[in-house]
Amino acid sequence: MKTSSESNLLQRLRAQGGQALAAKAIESVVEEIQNRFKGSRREGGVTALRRYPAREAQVVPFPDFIPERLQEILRAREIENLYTHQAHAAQLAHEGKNVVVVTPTASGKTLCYNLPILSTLVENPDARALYLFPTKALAQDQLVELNHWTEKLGEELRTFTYDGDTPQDARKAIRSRANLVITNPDMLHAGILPHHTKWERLFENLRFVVIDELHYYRGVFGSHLANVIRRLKRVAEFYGSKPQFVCTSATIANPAELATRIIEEDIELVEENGAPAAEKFFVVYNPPVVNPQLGIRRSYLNETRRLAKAFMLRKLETIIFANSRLATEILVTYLKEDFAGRPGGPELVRGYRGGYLPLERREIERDLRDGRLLGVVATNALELGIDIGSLDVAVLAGYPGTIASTWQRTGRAGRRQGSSAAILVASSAPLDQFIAQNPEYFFGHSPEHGYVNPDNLQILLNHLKCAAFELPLREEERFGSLDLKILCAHLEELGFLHQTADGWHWVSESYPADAISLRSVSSDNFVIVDTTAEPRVIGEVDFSSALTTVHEKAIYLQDGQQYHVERLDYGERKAYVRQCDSEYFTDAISYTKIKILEHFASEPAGPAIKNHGEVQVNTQVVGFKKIKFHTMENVGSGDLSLQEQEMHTTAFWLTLPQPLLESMTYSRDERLNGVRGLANALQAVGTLLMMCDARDLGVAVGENLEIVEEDETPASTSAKPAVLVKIFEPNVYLYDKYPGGIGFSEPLFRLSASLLENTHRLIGNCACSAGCPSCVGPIGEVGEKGKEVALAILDQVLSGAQTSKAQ
Amino acid sequence: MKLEEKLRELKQSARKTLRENALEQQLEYLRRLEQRPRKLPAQKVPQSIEHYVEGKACSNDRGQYFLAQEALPSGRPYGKFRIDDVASADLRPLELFLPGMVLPPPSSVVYLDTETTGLSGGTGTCAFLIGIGAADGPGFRVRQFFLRDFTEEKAALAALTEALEPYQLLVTFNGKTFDLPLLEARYTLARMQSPFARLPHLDLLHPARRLWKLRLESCNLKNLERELLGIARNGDVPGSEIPQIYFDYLRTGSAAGLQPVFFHNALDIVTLAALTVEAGQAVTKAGDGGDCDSRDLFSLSRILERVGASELALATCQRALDCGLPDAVEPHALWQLASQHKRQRRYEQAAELWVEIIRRRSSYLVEAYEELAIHYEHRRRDARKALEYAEAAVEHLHENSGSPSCLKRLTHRQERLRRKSAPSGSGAPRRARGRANVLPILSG
Repeated sequence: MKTSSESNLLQRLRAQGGQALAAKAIESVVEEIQNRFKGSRREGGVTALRRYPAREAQVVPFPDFIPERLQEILRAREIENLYTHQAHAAQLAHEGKNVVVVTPTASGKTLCYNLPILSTLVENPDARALYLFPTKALAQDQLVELNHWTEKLGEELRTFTYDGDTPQDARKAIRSRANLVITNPDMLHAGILPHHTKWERLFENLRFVVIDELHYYRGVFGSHLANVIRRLKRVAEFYGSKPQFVCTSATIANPAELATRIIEEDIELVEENGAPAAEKFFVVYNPPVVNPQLGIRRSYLNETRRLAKAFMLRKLETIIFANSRLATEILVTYLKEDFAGRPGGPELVRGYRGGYLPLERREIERDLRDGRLLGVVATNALELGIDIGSLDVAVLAGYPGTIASTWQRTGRAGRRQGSSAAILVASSAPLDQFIAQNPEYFFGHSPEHGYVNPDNLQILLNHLKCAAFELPLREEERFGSLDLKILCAHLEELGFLHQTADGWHWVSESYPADAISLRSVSSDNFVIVDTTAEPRVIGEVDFSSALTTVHEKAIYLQDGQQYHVERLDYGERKAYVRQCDSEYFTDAISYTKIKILEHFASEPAGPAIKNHGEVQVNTQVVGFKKIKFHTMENVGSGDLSLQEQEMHTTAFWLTLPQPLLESMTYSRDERLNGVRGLANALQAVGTLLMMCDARDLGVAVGENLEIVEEDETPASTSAKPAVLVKIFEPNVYLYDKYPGGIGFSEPLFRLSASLLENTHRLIGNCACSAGCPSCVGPIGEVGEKGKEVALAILDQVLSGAQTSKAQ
Repeated sequence: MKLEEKLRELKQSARKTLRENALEQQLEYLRRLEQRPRKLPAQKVPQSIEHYVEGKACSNDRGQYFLAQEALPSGRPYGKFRIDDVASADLRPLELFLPGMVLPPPSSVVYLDTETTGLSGGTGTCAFLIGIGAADGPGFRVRQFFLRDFTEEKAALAALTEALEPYQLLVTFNGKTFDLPLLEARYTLARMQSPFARLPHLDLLHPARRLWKLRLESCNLKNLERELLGIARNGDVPGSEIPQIYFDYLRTGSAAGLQPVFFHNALDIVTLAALTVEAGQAVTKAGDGGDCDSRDLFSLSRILERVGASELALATCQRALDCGLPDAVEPHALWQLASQHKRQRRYEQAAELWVEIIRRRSSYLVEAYEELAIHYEHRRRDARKALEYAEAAVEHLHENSGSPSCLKRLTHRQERLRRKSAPSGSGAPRRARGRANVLPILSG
């Protein structure tokens, strides 16, 4: 009963000019937060407050090419004209151009592709379109949207989703009847392309391919998608069609570049935004320091709870984003407690994340749209374009990792009228601290770049197998930029292909797409088997992270449950675990050795040298630390001897020449620690610049090749210390943690000035006295002087760089 | 100064290697990663297919292909049949399995089987050997279209289309899910019209299952061949090895390994024809009271029931029971016979059979209780007796944790019957009484 009266109240508020009230409420909370939590950037509190004024809609009449029938449907939905970006994108697509549209959340971007495509489909009953969404939930959402059109257009528009959930008996009809097929890249890769003869009608008449949420396809996934698109274009060409591409993307720095890399064709960029926006506040909040020695701050989850509660108590609909499932559940629990005794009760707060049943998720989405909820705590599952309407406030518990993702999430708050607010609550992670202390980086920079490397050899070869399975590879064909003949000869040697007069044919019984997952480089996974009761598989870990996360005696975490790894069967690729309740988690210690195989480029960076090229990375997990939850104390360790892993990949590295280090008045150990600390900080900022996960970018400190070789000769053992001191000239490597590289090295090389400047800022502005996990790493790892030396090195490099620039 | 030297050095070493070399190096590295190094067969002097298989290269406007032909003379024995049984068979009884179709004479029936580069399906699986067989006068002729290389596929497919022209019925074994979709895909890939749209198709797998599943453990082709035709193949090449044999041939050019594959394919086709004859005879024999396994009779009764030949189905089922069925099968037959009687409104006969099922306490026990409860409630109007059966059913379901929906239905019936059978005026709720009065009228 309480629930309904509460939501009635909310609805009434909105109906009776509630917008103004909401705006007032927001302003008052923002003011209150600002006053109550004033503080310095280092110590915490509100470190930035921005106000974005309201913006009017920019509209134009419907373009002429839109058939009258469609215009009528639009008018029936109270759409009388188009935003400028919609009209522009639709016009370009109508002219046959490839288009990528970049606009914020809730700016009506689906119309950008639906208008030109539906116009074509209703005029030409044979024409076909294929829509790609990264998740099934988004595909369902689009189906609902398109059903509005289907209701009016009837048989002219035959839209279906085709994915793993499509019933077998419906598939045949969809293949021949649908003129608009909604699917995902994985299904296109493993279900549609290898069976393209069954899709003859679609491929003969394929006019449009839509790639929604393009920014999602970065790194490995994007590199795979680019290859799937190569295959799609081959198949379409075989049936005599040449589809044009319409992509949409959240704001990233290089949408046109990313789109071009993925579709490998010229593309027109539409980025002016004609959608209206209401006034919006953006607050960056850093929880205050409670222990200056260790740089410990107040819990960001508790602070998130307090802030969210302050908004919700003023009847402002609030969405709280957390970065993990566990954090989501914790916040839901806290906020439900907060509302337990109040009108409306705990039902006003819900959680939303992957792992909830689809029906439950649809219900929450509906309740959000209808304003029946006051708060929802979500993971990035709600970040993508699922329709939940707009809310008043977004509270971000922790920096989402990228500027683009931050804007996506904060875009969830923002109504057409009235005000909205977004608050970023920083955690103690290095990136969070960097953003909280350098908010101008966040506000001043365009969001991150999206990088892909479709010619990553392993990824390319895998898709080449699929391509040959689909249609024989002709000698004169192009598939990426590498030499197809050499690649095919390689696959022939392995027994996958056979060359005849008309090209290379697939000669294996296997179905290659089944062995290739688009969301990782190799499909070589370790299976996690829970043996607590009846043995059952609870998950998978990809090969590269298996050795550090499921080694014996590791604590493996999944869905908030802890598991102790009892046994790792390397040959069978299985880890046997048992549920446990441990006070600590484990952090693997690995030893990494890097050998440079090829320099692609080298340039001076002040007194240092920056390089990028190809490297061989040998990694061995040699032990692990036990770290206590919450306090992060090191409470023990263990030794391990696991097989050494070898990987060829690409890397960016910084060479710190001998004179630079020798000019500093520190001991050898202090210098070494400083370099290590610098490496840790560089990795954090590199991750920020590359818009990637910390797991994607490896870091290592290595000495120069000549020295390592000398080091290895047994004769020089006695002379070793002297030699080392003399020519200590370390390299700091940031390497792509995927065999073959995933495209970070070259951009890091290009953006090294920004990398170094921002690393300096991260370390320099950190509140800790001598190093903490938020900057160079804990004192235990980098010593008392680590932070100081790292800063000193950067000072030299940067001032040197400026001098040389001035000259 | 020192730095500049260093940079010059670095620049010189950079890009020294050609891109191709770098690629070769990376490939070498991947090769080492490859977990299962393949053993390539030793290169011998390759001997072409003509050397091992009777046949010749043919050509049409699509190019060349290899055609092997074998004529089996009419008198040759084939298990319990002779080859001329194919040409003289009466296949009309098989119309049972192709409703609405008039079966053509045996001379217009073509049998097809393919050997492929895999079982996974999809466009990367190719039929490298397509065999067809048909009566040729009193004898039987097998033709095999073979791709000496993938480039011969279009010519082979065109030749197949032409070869299928004279026939009016295509028979395969599991062709509905495997051979035909695969060939359809091959025709699409060749941008050619497939011949199968115009050609009616009988996939013998399904009739075989319906006819013989009760009697035989497995209805795969090999087992049917052994059990029904009495043929045991010696040294036949296992189907799973066939793709690799073809791949090895492509790589080495040596056709030695292919000979058994051609043989295997030809045998499958002749067996398919013989089994088709056997299926026709099985229907005929069961129908005219010939010497026949009781399980086959019961199977036929089910088939007849499916096509709506109720009287015949009932008589056949009765005969199967009269001949004596194994314990595992008999309750099914009793239940079916009862259902057939019920459908023809011979309720008393049906009731006798339900009682019999209950007497045996075999499978269909709950169903029989329920049927009897219905029978006594609505037809005999004996609520008390009906209640006994309903209670027995509920009790049995409780004891054996039967399906909840079934239990719910029967409990409902039981409660209603309790109200009905209670002496009138005992204070049963009015609403329930009202319904109880209506129900018998409704069920007529």
